[in-house]
Amino acid sequence: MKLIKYLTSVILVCLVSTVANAAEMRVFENRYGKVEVPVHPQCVVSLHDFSLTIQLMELGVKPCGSSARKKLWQDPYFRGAENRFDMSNVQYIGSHKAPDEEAIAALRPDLIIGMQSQIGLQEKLSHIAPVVILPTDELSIKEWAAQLADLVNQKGRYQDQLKEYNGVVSEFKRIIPHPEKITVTTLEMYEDSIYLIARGGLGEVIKDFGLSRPTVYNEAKEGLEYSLERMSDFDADYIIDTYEPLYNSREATQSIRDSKQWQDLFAVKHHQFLYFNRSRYGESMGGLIGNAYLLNSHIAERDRTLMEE
Amino acid sequence: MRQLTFNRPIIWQPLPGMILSTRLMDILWLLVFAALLVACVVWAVSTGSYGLDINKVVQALLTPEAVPERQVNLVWELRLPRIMAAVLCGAALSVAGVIMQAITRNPLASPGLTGVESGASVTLLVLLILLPNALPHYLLPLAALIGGGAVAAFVYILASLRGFSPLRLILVGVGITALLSSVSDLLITYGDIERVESALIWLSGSLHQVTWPDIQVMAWWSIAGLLVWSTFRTLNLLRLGDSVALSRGVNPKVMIPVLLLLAVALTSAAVATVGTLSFVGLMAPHIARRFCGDRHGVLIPMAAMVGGLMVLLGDTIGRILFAPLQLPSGLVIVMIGAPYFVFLMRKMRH
Repeated sequence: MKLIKYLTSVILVCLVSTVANAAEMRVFENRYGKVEVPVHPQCVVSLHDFSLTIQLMELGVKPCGSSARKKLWQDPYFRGAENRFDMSNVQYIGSHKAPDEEAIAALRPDLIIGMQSQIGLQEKLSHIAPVVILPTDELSIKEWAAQLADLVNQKGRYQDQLKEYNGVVSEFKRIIPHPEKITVTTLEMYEDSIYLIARGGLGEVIKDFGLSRPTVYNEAKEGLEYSLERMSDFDADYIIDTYEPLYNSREATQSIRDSKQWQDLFAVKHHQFLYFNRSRYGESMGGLIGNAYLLNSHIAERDRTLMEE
Repeated sequence: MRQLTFNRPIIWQPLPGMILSTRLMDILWLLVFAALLVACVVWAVSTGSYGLDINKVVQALLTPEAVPERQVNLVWELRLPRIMAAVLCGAALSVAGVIMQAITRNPLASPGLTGVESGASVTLLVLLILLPNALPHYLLPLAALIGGGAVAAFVYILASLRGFSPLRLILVGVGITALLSSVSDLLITYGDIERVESALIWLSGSLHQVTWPDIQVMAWWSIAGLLVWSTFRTLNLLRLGDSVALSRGVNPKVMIPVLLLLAVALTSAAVATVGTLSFVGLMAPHIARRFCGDRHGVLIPMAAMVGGLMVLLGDTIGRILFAPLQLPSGLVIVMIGAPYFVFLMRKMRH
């Protein structure tokens, strides 16, 4: 009898503390103002799969709903998270540009998190739950990920990630004391054009490693389509292309890779062309760490030939 | 005999100094479309990804304190603004289409074809892609009005250089629209990818971001629709040609720019609120004309209801068909409306 009483009281205490935790609120503040948010959010909705959802999962917080990529009559695809985490209980809420507000409301979330480009959704979604917009365009991944970790009460896990990342950066700089002497071009190649781009954490890691860009790259606009005739302008010690695992971009661009212009590039001639998975190393701390390890292995931990030499 | 009774004109005075001649048949059709619109509003407000039965919806509307706040917000903040925006913007675009078709005496004319819509949309694209923080949200319709108005004035001046010609207005409009669409393409191709993605969703006609302040702004601009209705006699006469209009005391040189300005105001406000829904301005007046002919006193309110109905149906189907995936209403309107439009038009002799 005593045991039953004891167990009942323990269960009651647990229930009360859970309810208290769920109801406990605090003020979160960033450049988009102050928002009253739960201290221990129970159901977080992420408005962007490739950045926020991945980072939440890396922090050990499984969102109850997330935007995803979806084609008609196909299952939703949580880009970058699908192949790394169990997404079975994460409800699809529509695309990140036009989420279904009612699908979000049906989840009864207590916190909605969006990116800077989703500021226009804030007012309407705030009728469902507190909406926090993170300044993802202005801050580095490390900085907004810190805000996210604070928001979902997972600062400890974030610190571990940051420590691991900083460790790889230090190791790289230890092996390569003058990283500025190495030039890197990051691009995306398509059948008839190239785009200068540094998606995910790649651009941030290159910057943190202290690597240089070719002069013409600094003057060019990232995200612009360039003619293949200008390929040689962007030649560097290392050229990095990224691919989306969903598509056969390698096969589609094979003829370009076989062309003389491509074969004459310094990076290609010296086997310093790298081809990374764009979705695996996305816009998250895990993405930064993954990219850092990749660059460390391919640039620091193996023999290399530099244009300067 | 019965036909004669239905078609006998009934003269009445909806506003002081405004004498309207309608037929019983017109009133019946107006009532039918009004009933359809109300039915569609009821359907739209009780349908969505969040399961909410009609009783709860009625409670949320009439006695919000008796239902949970979440459900009240769902009805009042998520569903109703979309519904209101769909009806108001559809009506505005349709009435603008009526004006354009009347003053150009061309059934193909619409705000989309005469450069007005392109002017408004390019202005907004510049603001969305290049200058995202330049203007507060509520000033976007005004910016669209200035852009649309500038293009309309330019097209009108070019079309009037050697005397106003409706055909020249259309042709110049088509040319300017082509020019502006290349500017749109340029902005979309070379703009910031995130902003371009948002702009593309807006361009395809999307109501998911509409809030009550947007409705307030749109409602003010919709007053232009009432002004248009008050000029139904002018529109009737303009359709018969400049000489007939002049002989009955309507000066086309004064009235056409005034009506064009009203069309620009309606189009710009709608474009700023829900994006480009070009097909509505072309199609809704034609559908309404099938029921009431070219008598603008009846055509304008009927076209407004048809336009509102089209956008509301497009938006509601778009948000529930593949939910949570949201289809832009502009896409749904064209996919469903175009075949229906062709079906209707095949019966026309001219």
